[in-house]
Order: sequence, then structure tokens, then C-alpha cells
Amino acid sequence: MTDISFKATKIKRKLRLGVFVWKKLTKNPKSKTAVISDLFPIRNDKNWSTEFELLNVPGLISGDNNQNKPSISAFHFFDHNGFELGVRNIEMHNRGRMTIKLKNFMAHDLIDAKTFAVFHASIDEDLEFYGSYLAERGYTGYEYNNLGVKGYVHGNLDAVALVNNKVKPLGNSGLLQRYYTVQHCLRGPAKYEFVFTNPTSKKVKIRPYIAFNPNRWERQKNFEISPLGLNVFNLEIEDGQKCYVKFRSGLYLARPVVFRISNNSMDVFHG
Amino acid sequence: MFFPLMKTPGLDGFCDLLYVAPNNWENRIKKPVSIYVLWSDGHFWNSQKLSEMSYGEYTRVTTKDLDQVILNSGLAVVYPSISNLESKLESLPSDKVWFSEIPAWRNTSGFYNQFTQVSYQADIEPLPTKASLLTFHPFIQFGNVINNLLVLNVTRDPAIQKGKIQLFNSYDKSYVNEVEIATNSLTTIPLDCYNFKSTDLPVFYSPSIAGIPFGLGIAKSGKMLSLEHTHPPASLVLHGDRRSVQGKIKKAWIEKLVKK
Repeated sequence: MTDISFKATKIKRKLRLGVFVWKKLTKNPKSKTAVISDLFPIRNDKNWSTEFELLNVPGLISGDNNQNKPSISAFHFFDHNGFELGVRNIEMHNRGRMTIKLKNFMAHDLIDAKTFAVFHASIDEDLEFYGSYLAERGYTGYEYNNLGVKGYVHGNLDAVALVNNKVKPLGNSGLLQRYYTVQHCLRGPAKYEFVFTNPTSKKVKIRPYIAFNPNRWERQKNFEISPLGLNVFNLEIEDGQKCYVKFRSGLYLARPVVFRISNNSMDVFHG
Repeated sequence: MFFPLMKTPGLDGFCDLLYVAPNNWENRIKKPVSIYVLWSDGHFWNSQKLSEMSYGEYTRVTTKDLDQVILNSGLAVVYPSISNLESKLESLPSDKVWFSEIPAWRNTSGFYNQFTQVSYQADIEPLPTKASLLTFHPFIQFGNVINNLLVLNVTRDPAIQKGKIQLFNSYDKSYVNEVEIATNSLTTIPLDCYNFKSTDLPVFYSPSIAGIPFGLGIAKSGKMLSLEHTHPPASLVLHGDRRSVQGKIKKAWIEKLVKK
């Protein structure tokens, strides 16, 4: 590529950035002491279990996770409409890692929980933090069919903040519709599940498109997700079939967590 | 942008490419591209053209498709190119052909066996030749599973430089071991021999070679594989000057681990 055409491409990209993503992907929380979390999907039924790898994040940031004081993290649970069902505080003491089995919470007021966020205690205000916010971006482990090994995936939406004890969405969306193509060719035989959470304060409508022929996209039935809610788009791909999928929405980044289930095993990754 | 094709003992690797940009506005390239595999012999980046791709197409490259000499270091990179490449290159190509930022233009890379496959959404921006790595590893699983740490490194320079990665227990800062890693390679480090407990959080530190670390879990039955990358310390925070926070976190840990 010549220098001139490279510069022109860069300028065009910047102009498009200004049109399509004119705000930041996620907002800054309004309080300096806010803490951020992703919104992690829960899978809990006869085929699935979910665990979360809880670390002493404040300790890791300050350079010592062997501290005298226990580290307390608040797990906030939400149903598929984004309604907050309850909070459980988990105390971590004398250990570097604590694997939290989510099924132990799935009863009573939390029985319908579909997502959770993890907020750590804020860092000492005296610690120089360069305008950053403490964040939990996860590792959630999913086990399928009691296979004995979890598939891990990290959060990738930086969805919510805890500000003055209230959960606030941080994601941005707009009127302009944007496409996100999952960078994965769907190969059969497999069942695919695309799990979306809505990190914004507005209801969002997502329209899936699939293509068995690379240049012929077929429009699928759309679905809506409430703020902090969750929805799953399912696709069954037959043996020998290959398929692409893209999603149209007002979300700045409509990236799902993708589960691929095949041959009694599974793979999980973020889109 | 480069896409990894990785080989680890007992598993084959794959690199799935999809010639469709992740978004509809950032990079509207539709020209046919040549798909090259590039690998370092320590002196040059060698290149071999594998195929051509038109817009909208999909292709899969596996470690089984290639001469094993290409994967001597455990790693080759796949590169879509508009122009023809020489068979020997003194540096990785600098043209970013499949490139976007929101999100990054990625592929699906991973491993497979006779039962299953595991993948992650991959893209490789070459790392500086001289850099350090500090990361925490929460992926060790227990029971009928084999746990490995993978360290992937790619630099523009084809030299294969050796270095050490040190293992510690983050909780009591105790030293566990050190293992050789190399640039332009994928190093597989078995972890089960160290008997980490379920409450331990191992920390890995390399003073001279940066890399992308992964936890790879392999069910002893072979029927489930698990692959995820660890994060750099900057991922513990968001917004603001994350590089400065990362520098501060690394300094605090390195002082405690190495200068103990």
C-alpha cells in the first residue's frame, strides 16, 4: 500500500468512526470510587453448571493478595429481564483463588438468576490510580454434561458499575444500526448458542442474519433485550454445513458469548 | 494482522479464517487476498502461499496440512496478503490487510482431537523484542485433567531468542520453578507436576520476553478441551491511564517476587 492510499484509508476510517461510534464504547462511571464488572451469563440446569474464579483483585492491584483484612466481593444477580434479584457477599481470606459454584446460590430469591456481576471493594482513595477504575472482567467456567473440565471465557463488555451501591449500565448504543459479524465459521454438526447481555440503559433490538452462501444473508426473527437483561439466539448446523452469522443492532458492540455444542462436548468463546 | 496456528503435544492446531470484516463500517476491503503461512527458522521468516481467498469465503488451515518443519517452534502465523511475498523475509510484513479496531478483526484459532475442539478469537500484533510478562493464572483444574500453560510469542524480528519464565505462588510469593521460553514460538509448560492447590493463584514472570499466556486443560478422556488466555495486569482496571497502572502493578509484584 502506498503512503498516500494508507493515509487516505486511515482518514476514511476515522471519519466512519466519528459517524458509527461517536461516543466511547462504554461510559466512565460518575463516581471516582465506582467499581466496574462485566455481566456474566449463568448456565445452571441438568446439562450445565457455572463457576466463577474469584480473585482478590484489590490485592493483586496493590501488589499483595496476602493481606490481613479479608477481601469482600458483592455478587449481584439479575433475571433475564435485567431485574436485580439479590446480592450475596463473598469473603475471601487466606487464599489466592476461590472457585465459586453458582449453583449453590440458585435457590429462593435467586432461582431465576440468569446473569451476575461481581463488585470488589474499592481501592484506597490514596492509592494513585491514574483515572482508572477497578474492574472485574471475569473468568467464568462452564461445565457441560459432567465432563469434568470447564471451558473458560472472560467478560468482554465492561457492562456495569456499582456507584453509591446502585448498579448502573455503562454500555453505549445509538439510533444508527451497526452490524457485528461473528469471526467464526459455524461448522456442523453442532448446536450454537449466542448469549447476549444488554449493557445499556435502553431496551435493544437485535436482528440476526445467517448465511449458508457467503453472499446471501437471510434475515432471522429479531429479539429484544431489556437493560441488563439476557437473550439467547440458537442455531443448529447440520453435518457438512457451514454457516456465517451477523447481528444488527444499535449496540456499539453486539458481541455475544458463543457456545458450540457438538459430539457431547462443547467449546465456549466470546465473539 | 496475523493469525496463529499452534501445535502442542497430543493435539493438532487449526486456524479458521473468515473473509468478512467484524463490522460494516471500519474496513471495507473486498479485494482477493493470498493466504500465506509464515514461520521463523531463527534467521528469516519463511513464507509459503497456501491459497487465495475472495471476499465472503472461509478457509481452515490445520497443523496436519503442513510440513512439520513449519511447526518446529510450535507456532506459525497465517497472513492474508494483497501482494506476493518473498519466500524469505527479514521481518514480518507491516501491511495490515485484515484490520479493524472496534472490535479487532479476528479469526478462530485452537486445537482439536478425535472427539472435540477448543478455540479462542485470535489476532496477533507482533510484540516488542525486549519486554517483560507478568500474569496470574486461575485456570488450573482438578480431577481427570491435564493442565498446561502455553506461552505464545511473535516478534517482527525472526530471531528465536531464549529466555526464562519464573513460576511463583502469588499468595505467599514462594518461588516454584523456572522454565525456558522463546520468541516466535509456542512453549507448552506442563503444570500438574507443581501440585498447585485449588486455592493457589500461580503467577508467572518473564523478565525478558513478553507473550500471550494461555491455560490449556485437556480431559484425560480427551472428550473436553479448555483454552483461555490470561490477562495482563492492566485488565484489572478500566479507563484512565491503564499503562501507568500496569507499570505500577508490575513493579509492586516484581519487587516482592524477584527481590525477595
